[in-house]
Amino acid sequence: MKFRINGAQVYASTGGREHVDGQPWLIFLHGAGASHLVWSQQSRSFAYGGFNVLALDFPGHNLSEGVPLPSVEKQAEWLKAVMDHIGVATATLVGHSQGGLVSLAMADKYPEKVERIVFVATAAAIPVNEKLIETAETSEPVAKSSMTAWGLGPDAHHFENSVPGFSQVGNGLRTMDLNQEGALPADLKACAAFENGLEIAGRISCPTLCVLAGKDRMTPLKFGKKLAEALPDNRLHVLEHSGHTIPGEAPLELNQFMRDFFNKE
Amino acid sequence: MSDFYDIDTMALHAGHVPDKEFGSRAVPIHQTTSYMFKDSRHAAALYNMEEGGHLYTRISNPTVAVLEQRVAAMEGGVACTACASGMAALHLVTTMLASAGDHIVSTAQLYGANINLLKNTMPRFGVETSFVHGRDLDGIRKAIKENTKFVFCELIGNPGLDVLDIDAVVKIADEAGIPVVMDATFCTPYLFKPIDHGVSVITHSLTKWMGGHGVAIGGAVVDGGNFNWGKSDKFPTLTAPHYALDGIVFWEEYGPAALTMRIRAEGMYNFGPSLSPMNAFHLLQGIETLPLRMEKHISNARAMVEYLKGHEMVSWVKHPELPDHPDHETAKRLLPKGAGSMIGFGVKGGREAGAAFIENVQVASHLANVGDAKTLVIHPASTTHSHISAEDMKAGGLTEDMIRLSVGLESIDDLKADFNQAFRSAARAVA
Repeated sequence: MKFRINGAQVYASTGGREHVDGQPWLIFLHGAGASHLVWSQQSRSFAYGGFNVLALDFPGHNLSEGVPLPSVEKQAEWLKAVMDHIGVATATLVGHSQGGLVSLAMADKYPEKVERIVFVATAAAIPVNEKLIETAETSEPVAKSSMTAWGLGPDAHHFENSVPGFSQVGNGLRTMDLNQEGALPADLKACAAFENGLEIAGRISCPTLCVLAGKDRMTPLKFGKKLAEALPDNRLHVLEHSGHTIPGEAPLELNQFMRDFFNKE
Repeated sequence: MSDFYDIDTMALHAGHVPDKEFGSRAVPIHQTTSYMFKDSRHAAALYNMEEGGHLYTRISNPTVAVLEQRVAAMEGGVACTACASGMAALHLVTTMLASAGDHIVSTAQLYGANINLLKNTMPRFGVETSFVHGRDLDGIRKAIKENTKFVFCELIGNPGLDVLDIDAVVKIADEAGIPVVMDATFCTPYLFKPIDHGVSVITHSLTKWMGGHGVAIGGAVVDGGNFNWGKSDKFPTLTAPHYALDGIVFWEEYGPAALTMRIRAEGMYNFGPSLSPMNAFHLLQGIETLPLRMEKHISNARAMVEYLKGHEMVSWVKHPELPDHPDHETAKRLLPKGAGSMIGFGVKGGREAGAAFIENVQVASHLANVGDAKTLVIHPASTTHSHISAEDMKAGGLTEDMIRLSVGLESIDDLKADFNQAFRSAARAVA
């Protein structure tokens, strides 16, 4: 679906289904340099499974217009505006990587809008290497290639895939190409500047699920575990063989963990 | 060091990780038509394309998927769909991108069946093609119309061995807002990676160098994922709601892989040009040794070019690495590892001498294929291109006396000895 926030077009995948009154809302938030496409194995699955789905493109990413937002806090403000515009009173947020930071910021400032959070391959802080930010600013294709390489685990580097014929390497690179120039460095800087995540995590009152990856080179497992330990009401799953891109690398496992979590709550 | 594995490693490993249950190192052959659903929800999920998996081998199959993922990896694409043959691949691309009333621009230097599909079959379904010589860049530009959906080409033309200036053609297509589709059978990703040069869709006959063994027919469509289908309203098959799947819009839902998902959801469903799992297995065995084979193909081809040039029974030799080839400079720029293992040559004495030569080779095989590990020879004018008009033959650089040689991996000394005795027979035939 397409709508406008602050005058700019916003795109959100509904997972191929119309929203239905009374169904719970599930909002997917992508990571740095990515877009709603990272959730292609989740958005349809949950939309056909009884949820109203919004898999968003942040401003300046893929099909959403506008300028990439410079901070995690501003991304949370934008998310609040999206929810208000559509009339979503409360939703489960599913945040991958940077999307996890946005979920933390959202739960901190607007706890009434957040019913549950699923943190996917993320941490309370993502202190991005300065060299990577510099490369993203001066040579975006090189940074995209490095991030795609670091973002995928060993099976994805062997082109093993649950979707027949797909290359996660190819899709990772080309998906980033669909974003506005400058979106990647803006995201990386926003991640690097977000520093009080651990403190926020300790205050989060809603139920949370952390799904982390054993072969994550972007947000290493030990940092994800710190977040999981800080969350008061958390369930943790570790996918030992996955890399950072869990939604694409281990979609069936992630979807099952989410369903189990939702069914329990 | 690259961020990703080199092509030599991909040829052996891409697309397959040993399964957890048995640890099979080789790719297992899933010789099955169908797959057990876990429950009705799982069945619905597969039909709705909610998640990955296999429901029926006409659509996808685990062994075929390994082949697809391997070819996608080697070409640097976002996805690949394997199919029954190289011709099935071109048919899939054409029907997924063009509809009645649409138009294609194609270079004229093509494999005969590619010409036939575009020139004689597709017009019956309302899709017209304008053919332009690959060196006539201005002609290509002028042939593009408002309803043109893509430019089709081969890098190394079959059988004339013309080498296309693909960088210039991609630039022309870019300016017109349409993608370039290339049949890359003759170069394979070992010699040339079309996506790195801006080509958006690749078709392959995997039967040829990729398989290399001559035991399995197969084809593939590689989706480069580098074309923005949503930039215009030219491609409604990808940007407008699909007739099924609750009106899915492939471009919005799958972005760079939109074309592949349309091929899977419509092309494989409705046309059914599926590749058998056994053939996929055979093709995978071939691909494992592609880099090694291509090195030998190229070294043997270079040696045969020199040999033929010096033979008294040979009237002319055509290969892009020869300085007198009209595309020599283009070949040097685009094909630094080698300009392929196809050679064209004329036998002195015309058609009769050519026939005698072909009938007397003993190591080389007289048959209708190219890219085999074994050396192959054929007379295109009377076989592969016999259904092509004289005018199209001329446009494709094909002459009556031409022998098409696909150089294999045999001992170069044995090949030369075989050709020597066959040339002697040819000389006797016209004496």
